[in-house]
Amino acid sequence: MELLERYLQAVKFWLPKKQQDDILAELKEDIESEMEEMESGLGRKMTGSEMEALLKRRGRPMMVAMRFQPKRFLIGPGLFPMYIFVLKVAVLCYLVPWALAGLVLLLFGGSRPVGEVVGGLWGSLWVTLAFQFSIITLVFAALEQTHSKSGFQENWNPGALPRVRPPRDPYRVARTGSLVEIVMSLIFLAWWIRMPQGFPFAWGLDKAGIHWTWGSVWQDFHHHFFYLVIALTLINVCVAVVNLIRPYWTRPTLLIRGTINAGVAAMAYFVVRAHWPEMKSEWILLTGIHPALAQAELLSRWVNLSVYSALAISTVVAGIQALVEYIRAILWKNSGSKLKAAAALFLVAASLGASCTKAMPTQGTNWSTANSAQLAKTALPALTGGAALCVLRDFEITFTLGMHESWRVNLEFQPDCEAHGVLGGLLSGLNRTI
Amino acid sequence: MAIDSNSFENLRLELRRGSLVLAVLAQLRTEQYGYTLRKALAEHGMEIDEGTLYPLLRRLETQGLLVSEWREEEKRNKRFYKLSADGKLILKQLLAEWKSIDSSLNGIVKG
Repeated sequence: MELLERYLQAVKFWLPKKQQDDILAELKEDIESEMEEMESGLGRKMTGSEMEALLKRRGRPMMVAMRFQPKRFLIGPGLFPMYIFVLKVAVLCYLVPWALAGLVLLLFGGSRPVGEVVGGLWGSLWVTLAFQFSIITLVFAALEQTHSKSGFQENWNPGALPRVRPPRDPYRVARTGSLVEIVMSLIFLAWWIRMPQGFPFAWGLDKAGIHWTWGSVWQDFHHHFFYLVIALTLINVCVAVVNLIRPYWTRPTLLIRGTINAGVAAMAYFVVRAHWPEMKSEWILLTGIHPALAQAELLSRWVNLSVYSALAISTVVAGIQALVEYIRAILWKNSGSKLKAAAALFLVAASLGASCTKAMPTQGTNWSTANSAQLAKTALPALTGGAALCVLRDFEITFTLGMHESWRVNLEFQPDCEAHGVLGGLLSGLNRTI
Repeated sequence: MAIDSNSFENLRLELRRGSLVLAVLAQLRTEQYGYTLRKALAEHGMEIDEGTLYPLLRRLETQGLLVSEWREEEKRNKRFYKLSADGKLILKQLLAEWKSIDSSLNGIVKG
């Protein structure tokens, strides 16, 4: 009986105060009735282990108590899908900028050890995510209490539902996007070429007698990468024109676009890396709100810092874009083996990483033409190799040997291999020679 | 696709859940306490565990379909339940509904 009393005491703990005595009395009576029936069947008193088995079958005290209470939700099924949606959006809105900031710090963090940077970022991530989760959960818990009275579930208009969206083709390029890209690239090109002479929108400043000059970052960038930027922009315009005429990504256009973005990322990386100490000192000066700084100087310093930051973020964004475009080109419409694709991507990434590290100027020094040459010498073969691997994985070489067959090389092409024409011609020549 | 072993059990419980209310109300046309009610239902093939029965009895009493009183029997205090006047009316309506569902289902199953 002592075990029964202990069980009832445990159930009591989870019951609402007002109903405790009533529920426990009924529960006790029910258990005693069952014991009585069992004992009369056995012809003896129940043993301790038989009693334990009986109570175990009835369930954990908390669960028994919970069944006597109405179903309650912190966030009920009506609001739960929206709650999950908001949580996902909030996490994405935080994770993307967090990942970008993290990459910038990792790339340009300088003397700070990688472990320290990652540890700091990791800590801030969890604190912020926990804070977001708590706030959103609290808001939805409050809504749960009020939305049933507000008529939220009943007051809706079927006519206001969004139109059915056509299935999205991930390889389709919007023509308006290509058009905007062409126009913007040409405007940028005109500005880039004219940059040393001035900036069209700054005429007003000149007229007002405000003296201004290009910051050291821009001057450095312009000086070292003038022709490379023109070349990349022109190639980009060509890709956009092709996309305008034939609005679908193809493997070559994806590879070219990936290479353009990789080039942009590399240029921005080297400039920011070389000017990182400058950026840090600007940041320290501005966040300290130095009283000695005049309004104009303060403004110019903020502009400089914004340019640094924009370039740092561009490095990461362009790098990610390049990676995505290479992956899409390699995994072209799911053709071929993913293992080969992964191997190709790894080789390209490893070669690029190694070449960039080798070409990188030491911290605090400016980017020089020697660095450009070094980068071109090492990065271009990596990119070309990557592109070749992307194409090569579309076919497999098999050698056919037989009594009635001469030595012959057969290439089995995937249906959408762009290399078919060129390699087919080469193969035909090779077989004729054999 | 393999059927989850729990699928049948979950569907069976879902199917029985609505019928249990009807069985309890019908059984309580004569006064009974919880344990004997459980036994009586089990004898008719409607097994119900105590964790489901007692909360259900409380809910039906709160809705005014049952009345209960504590009484001593065989030297123990027991709570006896029986149908209220409203409960009798609701049981009559529910039985009519049950017959209608049964007839519809028979028609559907036979095609």
